[in-house]
Amino acid sequence: MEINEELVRKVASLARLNLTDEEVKKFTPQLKDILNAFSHLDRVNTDNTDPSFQPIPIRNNTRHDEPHASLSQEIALKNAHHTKDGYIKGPRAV
Amino acid sequence: MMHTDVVIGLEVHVELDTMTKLFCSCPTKGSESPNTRCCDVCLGMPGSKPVLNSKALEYALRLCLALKCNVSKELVFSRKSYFYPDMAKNYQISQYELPLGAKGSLTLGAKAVNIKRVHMEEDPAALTHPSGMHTSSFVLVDYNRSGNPLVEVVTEPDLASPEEAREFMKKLITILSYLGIFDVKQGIIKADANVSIKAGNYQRVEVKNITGFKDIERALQHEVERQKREVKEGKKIMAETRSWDSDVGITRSLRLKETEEEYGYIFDPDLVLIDITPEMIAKIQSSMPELAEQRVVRYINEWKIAPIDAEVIASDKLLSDIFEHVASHVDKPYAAKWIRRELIRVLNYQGKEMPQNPIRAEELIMLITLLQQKKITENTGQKIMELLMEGPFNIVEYVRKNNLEAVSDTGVLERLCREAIAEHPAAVEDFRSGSDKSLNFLVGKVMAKSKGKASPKEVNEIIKKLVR
Repeated sequence: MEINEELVRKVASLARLNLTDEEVKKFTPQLKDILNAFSHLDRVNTDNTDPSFQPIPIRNNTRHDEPHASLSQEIALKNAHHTKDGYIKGPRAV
Repeated sequence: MMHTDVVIGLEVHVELDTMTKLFCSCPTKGSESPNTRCCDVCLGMPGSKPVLNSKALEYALRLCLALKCNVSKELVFSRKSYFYPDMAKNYQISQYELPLGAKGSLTLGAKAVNIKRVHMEEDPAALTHPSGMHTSSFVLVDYNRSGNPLVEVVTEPDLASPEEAREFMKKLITILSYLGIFDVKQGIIKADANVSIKAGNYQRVEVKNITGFKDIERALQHEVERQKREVKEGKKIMAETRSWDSDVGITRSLRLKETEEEYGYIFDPDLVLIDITPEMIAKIQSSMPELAEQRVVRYINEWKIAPIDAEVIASDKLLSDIFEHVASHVDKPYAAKWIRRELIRVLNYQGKEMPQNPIRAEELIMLITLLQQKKITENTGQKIMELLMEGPFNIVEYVRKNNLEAVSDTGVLERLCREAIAEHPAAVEDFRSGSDKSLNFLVGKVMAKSKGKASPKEVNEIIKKLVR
């Protein structure tokens, strides 16, 4: 995959980030470097290796349908910078 | 595949009726105050770990079996990444590559609608646009709903009209309520639809945001008409996503939506794999509740109920449950007839549905018993049914106080009939020469004399006997 400014702009728009032209110019080579570093992994032969989705092989861990106490509204909102009447304020997305 | 003029496929989202959320122990019901039923997991705090609700899996499996799906041997969750504030983690936990159920079907009359897949996912948060959906510069987010368990049922594009889509939704709701996995009174059911028409070269348009089975027909009818109009005006149907606005009754084009590729699905490494063993499936299969089709068969074969009554009653779980209760105390076919005709009539008259039905089984048993014993006439019975819509009361006492006992004493009825015959000789003559109208006139006179407490059928027979 070619990492170019167009792709950087597209990824930024999916992530709802508004990048300036300077930022696009700055990030494009950086992203290229990062992906190049990871591309070393492509040299490993994985033909006979199953994909690993979990770091540890635990299976079948579920819980019963029993309610526990939730956080108080005050605690729930504590990390949010923008709140209004008990809600968290967010940017409109649609 | 045979292409019809209209081709519709549905994605239906159903809220499962569990006590707690899909991946945390926050309650799904209770406080309506915003952000009061949330924890580190459903707020997407770093380091929090989701753990699957076993009840939600059981419910989803019940639905897979009822829809005759092939069930996956493993339950695998995937992350669907997108960046709206309705998911605090910036991804929704869903299923993608390996849905829980696949290749099922749902029977609609003579037709089988193919089910492509059934999968589990978490509900996003509720967003409020304080100064209107289309103008608000920010949204208010309430994470109470975030993480509620959903199943998504995806059909093949097998539905040929908006009416058929509505029938599908209705049938699905019946199945869900029989399975006991959906709260018919409060649960939310939503649909997205793919709609295309022949005249538009079957270019698919996605319509989102349709709530409930009543809205589906309206939304789809509107969209089909819109596409026909576009074609007529020489425009090309565009591949796009439109949002249904129920208040205005139109669909609107939405901003370009992510493609499946852009969602960047990955298997969720926080959730462990769950084996779905043959034993698990056998256990759920053996504890499956009786479904509507099975009730219809039992009503007809064992209870000797008229097929039309059996079909109508069984198609609504709440109606069917109340009928089962009543039928255990009174004559079953008679009760079926009354409940199918009269209970539905009074509900329709007030624009109500079964979830709002105020009439209890106790009153129905009393009323139907009085009717069966001919203590009251059908006419009186209908009036009492109407009054019961206002709330329960002691029917026996009401009948006595208002002097509504049926005149069933043949001696008294005959006397009233003789009086009417003597008072209206002209009508009697007309009836003798073949006028049914005159017979009805005479019956009416006797009914008036009995103050509506005689059975018109009985009076009819007595007059015929006396005149001939």
